[in-house]
Amino acid sequence: MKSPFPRRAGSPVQRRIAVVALLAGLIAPLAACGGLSANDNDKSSVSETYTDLRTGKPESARDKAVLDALPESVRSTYAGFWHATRVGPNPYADWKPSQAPWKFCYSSAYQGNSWRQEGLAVAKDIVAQLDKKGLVDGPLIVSDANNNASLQATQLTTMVQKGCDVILVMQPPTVGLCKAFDAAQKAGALVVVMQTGTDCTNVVQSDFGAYDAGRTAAEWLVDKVGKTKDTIVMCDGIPGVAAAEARQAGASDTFKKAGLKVDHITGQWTPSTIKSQMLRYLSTHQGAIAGVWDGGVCAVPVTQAFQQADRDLPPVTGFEGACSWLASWKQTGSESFGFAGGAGQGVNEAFKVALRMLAGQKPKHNTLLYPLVQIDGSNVDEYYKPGMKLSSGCNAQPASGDSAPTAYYDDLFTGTGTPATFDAGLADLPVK
Amino acid sequence: MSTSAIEQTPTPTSAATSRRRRGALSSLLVYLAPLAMFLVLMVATPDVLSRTGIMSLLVLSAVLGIAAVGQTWAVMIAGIDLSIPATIGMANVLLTTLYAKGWSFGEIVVLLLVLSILIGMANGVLSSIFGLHPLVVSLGVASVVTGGVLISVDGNTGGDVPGFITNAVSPRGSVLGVPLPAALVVWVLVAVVVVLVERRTVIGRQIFALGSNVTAARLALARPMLIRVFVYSAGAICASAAGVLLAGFSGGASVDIGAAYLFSTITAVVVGGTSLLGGAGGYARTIAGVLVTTEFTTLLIGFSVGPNMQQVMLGIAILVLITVYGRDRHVAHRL
Repeated sequence: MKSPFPRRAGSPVQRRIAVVALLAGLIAPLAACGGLSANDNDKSSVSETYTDLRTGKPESARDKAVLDALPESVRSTYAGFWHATRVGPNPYADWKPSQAPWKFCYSSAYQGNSWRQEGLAVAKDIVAQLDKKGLVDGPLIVSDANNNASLQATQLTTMVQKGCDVILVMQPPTVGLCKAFDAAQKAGALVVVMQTGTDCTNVVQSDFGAYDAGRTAAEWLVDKVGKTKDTIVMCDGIPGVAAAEARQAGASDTFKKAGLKVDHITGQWTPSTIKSQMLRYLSTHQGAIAGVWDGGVCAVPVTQAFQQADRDLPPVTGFEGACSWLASWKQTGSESFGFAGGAGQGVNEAFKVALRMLAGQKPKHNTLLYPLVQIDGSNVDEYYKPGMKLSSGCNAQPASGDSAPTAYYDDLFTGTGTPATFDAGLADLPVK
Repeated sequence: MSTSAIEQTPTPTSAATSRRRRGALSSLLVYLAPLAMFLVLMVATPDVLSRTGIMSLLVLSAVLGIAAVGQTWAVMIAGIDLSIPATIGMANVLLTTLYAKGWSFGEIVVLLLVLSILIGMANGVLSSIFGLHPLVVSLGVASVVTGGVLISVDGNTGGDVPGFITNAVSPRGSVLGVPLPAALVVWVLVAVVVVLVERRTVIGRQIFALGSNVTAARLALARPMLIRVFVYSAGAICASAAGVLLAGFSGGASVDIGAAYLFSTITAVVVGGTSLLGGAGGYARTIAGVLVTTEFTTLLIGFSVGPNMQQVMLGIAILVLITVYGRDRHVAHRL
């Protein structure tokens, strides 16, 4: 006898069809979203004026044309710029700076580590110096978004309401804040994004040439290892993060050109992850390793992994010039190569850009990339200080006090206004 | 009379036997999995068969294993502990910063014990009194802990690490001349204590009881709040121990250092076959889960699998493993 009740579930075939339909239903909107966002970029007028952010992709004809049109003095620093940022005209071309005193604001995406604390300390010090010259209106207004983009957008809006003339934004997310930046720009505030690439084209960006830095460190390693069949291990950062991918692209291109065999570990810019990945790599690869390229924070945990796995230490590069890396270098005596890349120098360069603009100068482009100061065997003694330890949280700073000489920006700006000057005091930062 | 009664009800007995057989088979598979995975690893990457190769695996397993104690017990009482990464970060940062300020290691350990118990009490008491799900409570506690640590050190997380901690997590480290890293010895001791507490003590049995049925456990004179406080405090103490070991592992300190241990502790527990529904499983299974996941991720690196594909493969492996031996019904539904 047929049951009077409808069956609760369909036949196995029906269930399978339902699962497939459900999956298709989930995937289709995702694919559509991907397609829409790509189309949005293509269709917008912004995309015609600014190059696209093309992380991990080879150079396009347009990227090449933009690069070739840059002044020769900055061209190598801008190499591979499309991995981390977009280049186009100055979005503040029509902006007229207000008269001093100015209100300075500092919007940080996160403040929970020593690197970020150093950046803020340097910013406060610079503002205090400008204040003595009567150029500052009130104390530096600071916000910390704890890695929450929507919170940072709100904080930016509040800063605009408080009448900030200059908003320095420390490492905001690549996307998600463009509308908040837009509102700030419309209110007449100058927004300078520091130490990261951004998809937003309505801000001025100050950053070091990440591709160039990755390439330069890789070139040092290639020279060091010579012709070899042994493997180079690249210690990569966070997959998909533009700043990490740009460094890696610079290094990958160099190793490819040199014909070297490359393996990767993914350290996620986290020392404990880097060390566990490197130990796992060493456990499963007993063959000789020619050298290790550092995509950020890797040098010390990688060196420890080699030592603790009883393996010969090959040349290992550094990257951001951590005090712990210099301590490790001194301890092992194994020559390395890196940069003076603390947050302090980044804030210093961003202030130099902002003060030029406040003095009436105009940048030729939205993105201002500068080269980092290199640390190698010839100048390491200028950077190493006795208090540096393997557990130190500080970073080496440019010995001259600047990453880029002031004259470096002359080719990137038009106008003749004389900017206010300051001493970033990077050499006096504590070793801790 | 009794004989005929047994004859009349043969089905439950045979069903129970077959259930027991299935359970025994599932347990056997869990404990054989690390061996099988090691054989695969050995065949695929023979390089791993060196002292430092094996010790590297065991040190990585030890840190994960110690961190996973809390997650195992939290899952066994049908809860979850999302405050483990924050507690690891807290211990990591406090050890390095306070040691640099001149505190002795003993003083720091006492402070960490007190803070861990406070974290455990917050998790246990709040989830009991207000009847909140531990997922929400431990998430809130985690946020308070991380924020509190950052405020106390003003974001400056650098410091100093005692040399013996670095040696404890070195694959070539030794204890009293025996070539075994101290982290491994600590893990073995922790494992023995944890398994004994689970199987031989009243509170251990009450953990199972609470996970099976809160009402029944209460009627059996178990005190749910006390058990929860015990479970989350023990978990926080072990997480702190993992944070201390990680300070030696990576040299520096970071409040985010435990981030990777949320997913990996839950993975180890689930792969070990402890049911997320509570009331069953145990730390011995988690040990197997820890070894399997460590071996598997090492295997992927041995094959030079990229980071994104590693995620995919790990996900597939978890799904396959729990499909094979993680399908037990909740204890309350087995009768």
